[in-house]
Amino acid sequence: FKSEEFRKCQQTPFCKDSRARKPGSSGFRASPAEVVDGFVQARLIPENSTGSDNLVLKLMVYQGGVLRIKVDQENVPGGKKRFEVPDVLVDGLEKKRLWLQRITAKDGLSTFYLSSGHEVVLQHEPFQVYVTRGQEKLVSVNGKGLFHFEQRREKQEGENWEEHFRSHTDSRPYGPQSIGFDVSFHGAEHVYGIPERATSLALKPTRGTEEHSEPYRLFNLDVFEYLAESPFGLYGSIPFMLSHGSKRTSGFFWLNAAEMLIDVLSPGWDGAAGEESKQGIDTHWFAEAGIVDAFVFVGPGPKDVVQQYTGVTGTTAMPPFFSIGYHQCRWNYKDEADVAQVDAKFDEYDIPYDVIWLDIEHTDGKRYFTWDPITFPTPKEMQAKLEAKGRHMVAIVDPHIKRDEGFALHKEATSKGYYVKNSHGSDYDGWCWPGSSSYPDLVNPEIRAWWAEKFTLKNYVGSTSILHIWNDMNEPSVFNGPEVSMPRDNLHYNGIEHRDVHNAYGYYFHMATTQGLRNREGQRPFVLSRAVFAGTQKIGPIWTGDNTADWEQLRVSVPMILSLGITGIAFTGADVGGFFGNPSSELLTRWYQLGAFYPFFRAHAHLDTKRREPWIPGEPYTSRIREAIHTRYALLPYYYTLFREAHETGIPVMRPLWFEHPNDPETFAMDDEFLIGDALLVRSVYTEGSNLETVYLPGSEPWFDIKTGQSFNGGKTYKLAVSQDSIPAFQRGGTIIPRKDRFRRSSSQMVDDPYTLVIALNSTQEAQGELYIDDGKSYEFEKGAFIHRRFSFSGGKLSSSSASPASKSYKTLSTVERIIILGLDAKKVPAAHRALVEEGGQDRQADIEAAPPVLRAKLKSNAVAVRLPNVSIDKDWSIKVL
Amino acid sequence: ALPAEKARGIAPEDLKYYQGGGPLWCKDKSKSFALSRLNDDYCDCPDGTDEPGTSACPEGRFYCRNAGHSPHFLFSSRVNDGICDCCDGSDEYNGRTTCSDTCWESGKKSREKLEKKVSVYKEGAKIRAKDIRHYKHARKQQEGELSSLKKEEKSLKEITQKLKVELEAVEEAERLEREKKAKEEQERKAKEEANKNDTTTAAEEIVPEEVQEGVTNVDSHEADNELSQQVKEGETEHKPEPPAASEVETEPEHSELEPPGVSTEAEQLESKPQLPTEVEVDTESGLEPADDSESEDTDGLSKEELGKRVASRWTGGSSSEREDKGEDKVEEEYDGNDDKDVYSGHDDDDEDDNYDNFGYDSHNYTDSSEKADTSWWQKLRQAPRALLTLLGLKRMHVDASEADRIRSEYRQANNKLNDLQSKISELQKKLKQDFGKEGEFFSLYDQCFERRQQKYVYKVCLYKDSTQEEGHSSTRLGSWEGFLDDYKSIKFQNGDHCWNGPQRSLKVRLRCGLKSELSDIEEPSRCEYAASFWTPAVCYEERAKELQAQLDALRAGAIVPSHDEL
Repeated sequence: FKSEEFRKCQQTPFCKDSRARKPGSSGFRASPAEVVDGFVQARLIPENSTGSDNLVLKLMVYQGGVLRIKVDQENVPGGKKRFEVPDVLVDGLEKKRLWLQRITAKDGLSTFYLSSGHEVVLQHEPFQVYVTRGQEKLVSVNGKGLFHFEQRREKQEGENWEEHFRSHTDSRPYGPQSIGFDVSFHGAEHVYGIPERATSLALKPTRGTEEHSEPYRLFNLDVFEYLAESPFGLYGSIPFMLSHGSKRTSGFFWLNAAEMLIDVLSPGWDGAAGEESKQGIDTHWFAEAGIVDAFVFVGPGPKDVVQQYTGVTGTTAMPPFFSIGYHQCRWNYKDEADVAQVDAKFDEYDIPYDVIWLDIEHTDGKRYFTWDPITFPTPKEMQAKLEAKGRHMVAIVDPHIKRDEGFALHKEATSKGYYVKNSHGSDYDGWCWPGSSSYPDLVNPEIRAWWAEKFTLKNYVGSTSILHIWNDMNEPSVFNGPEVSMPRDNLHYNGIEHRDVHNAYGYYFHMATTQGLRNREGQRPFVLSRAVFAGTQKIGPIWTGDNTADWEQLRVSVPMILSLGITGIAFTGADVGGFFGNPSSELLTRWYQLGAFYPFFRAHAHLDTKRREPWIPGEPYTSRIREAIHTRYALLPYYYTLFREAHETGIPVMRPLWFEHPNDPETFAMDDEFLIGDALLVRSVYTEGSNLETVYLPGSEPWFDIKTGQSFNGGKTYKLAVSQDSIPAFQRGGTIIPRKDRFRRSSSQMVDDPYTLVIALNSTQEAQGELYIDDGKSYEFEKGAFIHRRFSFSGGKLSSSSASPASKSYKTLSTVERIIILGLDAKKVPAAHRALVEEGGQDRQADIEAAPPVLRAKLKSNAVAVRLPNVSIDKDWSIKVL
Repeated sequence: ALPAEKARGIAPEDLKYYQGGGPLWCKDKSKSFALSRLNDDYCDCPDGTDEPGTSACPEGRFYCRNAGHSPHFLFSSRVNDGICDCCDGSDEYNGRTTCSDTCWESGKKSREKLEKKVSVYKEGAKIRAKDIRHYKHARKQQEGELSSLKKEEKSLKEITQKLKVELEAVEEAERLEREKKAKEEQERKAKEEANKNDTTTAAEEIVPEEVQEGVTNVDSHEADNELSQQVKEGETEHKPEPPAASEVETEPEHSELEPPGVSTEAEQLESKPQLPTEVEVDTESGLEPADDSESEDTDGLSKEELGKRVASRWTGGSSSEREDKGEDKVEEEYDGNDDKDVYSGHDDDDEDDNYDNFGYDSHNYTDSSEKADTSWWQKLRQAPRALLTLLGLKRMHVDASEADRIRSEYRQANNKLNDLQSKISELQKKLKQDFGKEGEFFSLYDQCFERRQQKYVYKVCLYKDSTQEEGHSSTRLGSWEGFLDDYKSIKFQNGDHCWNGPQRSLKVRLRCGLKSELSDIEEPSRCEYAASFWTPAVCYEERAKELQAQLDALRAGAIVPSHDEL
């Protein structure tokens, strides 16, 4: 990490100025509000207004408890409008807008409806907007009077707008145009979100009575060897914050792609004292450019807030099934023989994997869409051999295009004028892997369509339908640019400055690539991106970038993924093993044990590291790694069902404990353990040689160790002995998890395999669960080609019913081969040890016997198993156990 | 007997375990199960005992009979997975996948392969035996030679000592003579001065200078002598360059001591890889000059330099170099893996690729050591002066004084002694080497092998070191560390440092072949190289017999479990 290479707040004038502002310095008043086209509109008039320097405020309300606040300049000199970020909000958002009818104006306040029980209040002088529930304030904007809006204006005689950082000059032709305001979350105990950074999930204050640290920064950068604990922003920026307390969760999102900084203010920062200062958390947001286009989400629960946020920015794209299996990556699998060798080793060691990856060296001289003629002379044959085993391949395509006259892509992009321009209007020439490079202007939809065309099987020579894509370096990373990125005064189409769109550049690149694969043959694409912006979830997965092989980074991967998850990005993971450096065999094993639970499970390694595929460390490590990967594969039906939930609702696959236990303050700052869905709790091991770990099990229901079946009461902290063989994981009483316990080479061979249903009973001997299945490949599920079952255990009987009606049937041969019941009062099992199976009006019997919860040698039979009920997974049936 | 469906996946030798009647036990004794539960597609024994023929148990093994080829165990994960794994197709029986029986065809191929392998092993084993015989013979001779050389050394030391004594005596006499002369001269001068005659001869002043020179020479020889002593003591150390004199004076009889094909000392010295460049040494010590200067100095950089510098953080090299690599490859002549089926997978036991191209050039071991002149040292026993004449040591100055002559003889005897001692140390070093279980690697001592792969030439010198050469630049991959894994491989260690990484190393896998040859050089991990070396030294007779038995069994259609997968 080279801190001197990146701007600190003190080196960034708008940041320094914003932080220097005092509470109450805002000085705007709002004109009387009126209803226009179903939204509320007013003018914001500054002190000593010239009459032409008013701002326009628009307040809009959407279904489900969403308030939108827009503020823009009323008049811009030269008619050059300030930038609004396109293509992030979901299509059809306008349809969800409530058509407001009236405002109640009283005592200088204009009040209107938000959602059932919630109202929006516009305070006219000083200007402030807040949301209430009854008498209670939930979220206030400019409640502390930090609202500030630098208007675009004509340059005055003798003014110099240039800024300098190290050897770089930013010409800033539009001058100062920053915006800032405060947001107060009343009653909040913690705030979360605003990824991407390596830090705790609950955000620590950055400012208080004395300055604590740099503000949280949102500016997409390629940070070499990032640190495990830093407010510094990494590859992605999601300007969405959640607040949570025992009573309520709420959220705030500012749609703005310019550099943004956020201070979390500690109590008393504004001089307020006593109880008043402890009533919630104040935050201060400021950005270099753009407009105010912000959203308030009223909750009331954490899941509601994420649903409201993803209702605006989109939910997780349904991933192709193979992509939730295990991915084997390395910079670099050197040649076709290397790929074949690694592939063969997985079979030799009976370790499943679904995808092998090729990094930048596979190309012909870092010209993307090409293959090195020596090391990868027959890419199609290579892919055909992988396909024969049901496996897939991912190849890298980055946005830097080699400036080489002999490279057709470069020639075409040049002649069409498709590159981002420098401040003088000629093609920007930066430096990246290929050397001198230019960057397609993917902010432009026309250029995105052009880029997407490059991925057809015809255009991308050597590609086949099993080839998917990895978009790296899309912050964009520019080795010789300011802060290893693009100059802010670079120009995109329509004269959009790079500073306006910086944080979303990678998003548009990711979008264009994904569209390219989607066009290919209607199959669901898999495109991994490093850069992230609000809304990335509807395009595809991201990972946490270039981490390091140490225990601290293993630890921080959990809050990083949780933080991305609660801000909509459900499909994420960290590089298993750590990208830089060489992990010890123990660290590597622990990383696999944790990584097997990441939503996105990929091992990756830097060019200079030693090989570390699962068989490299040897025994006993290889067996432990195999076991971790097998555990993931057994849980794939459960993960896929959770991805469906994320796709439908935006609720993440990997969740903080407080997402499921929002009233338990014990969980609020907890980020060393996490949940997968609502049923699984995982506590990773983050220290070398550990044999004892503290685990908190929330709630009032019992929890069951997924390997041994041992039960633990909820609401308690345990000191648990841990072995090197696995990390602690528990299933909550009251849940049913679908598994597939047969090992295969890859997920493709598991399609028709039978299921195991694992029932963990709660205190009333009941449980619920779901299973979602579709073809795992196409978009037919959107037309109803899926199976969605609900399992319910009560009164000693398990029954399966349809969870959501399908309009088109998807067929499967799968049956249920085993039902495992944890927490069953064994005395109640009938002496005959027979279960009564009823399916399609037919009755039959199945044996009941003691069994271990998983099929591994030397495990005690702590569970009850129903043997071979053989019911079809897609039918209604019931199995009476008691 | 079990019905066919129940017996599915059971190896013939295991059948009786299931045929006992009554309840069966899981092999791990965890529980018992009824025969009706055998292969009922539900896992009762976590160890897989009850499901040999299905995919139900995670630890299960499925036996394919593979009639016409060799039987085979599969992981249970392969059963009914839609992929034909057994050549007889018996692993796919649920009707969803149709597999054709390819056993006869592939069995024929693998029999042919095995035949070739057997013949290579047999032929190789003969060569190996011959090499071992040669080793035994040569070792005896070299041990004899060593003891002769030691005797020789002893008497040469005596002679040198005698000469030294004689020289000292002569020099003492000379000194006295000189003093006397000087005194006489003084007196004469005094006389002449008295006579006011003031002339001096030049020659008279030269004499003391000459004496001075002689003393210096003797000193430097003693220093050399000490050096070679040190070498002798630290035999595992690298041999320093022998004194220049020995190169000039190398005698033909002595060079014959070495087996042909072995590079002479002089050649080896020339081929000695260049030292790592200073830059690399610096970065290895953790100081990155680029980084150091960066914080102060990036402002002065051009955009391109800045880009390259930032890129180098990830790559360690300059990014332009990396880029050039990519481009160069196109133009490079490629003689890489063209002959290999790159997708055939990597079979660890597959030692039979490529061997048929290897003919065997029988080494012509000239029995040079027999010709070694064992008599000349005896001549040393004679009187020093005469002996030196016999040795052919020429008098440097025929007309010089007795003292000069003795000085010259002493110097030459001393050189000879140094030479002898370095030979002894070399021989001792060689005799101490690990030549394998039976000396089968002896014939490879100090031999170098080269292989061109893409733009690099790899050079492996056994018992010495290994390098990767590109044009004029050479990178050390490591020096000889010894054999590993019961003589299955060789390790070279402590090569040149990698940026941000370990010192380079090379592991050479030894495989049975008729001709000693290097192949398949790879860099599986950064700076960890791997290569194959084909040599008769690992063509073991027992392995040849094993393979023959396998082949016989295959031909007879008998069942010999193959270890191909498990």
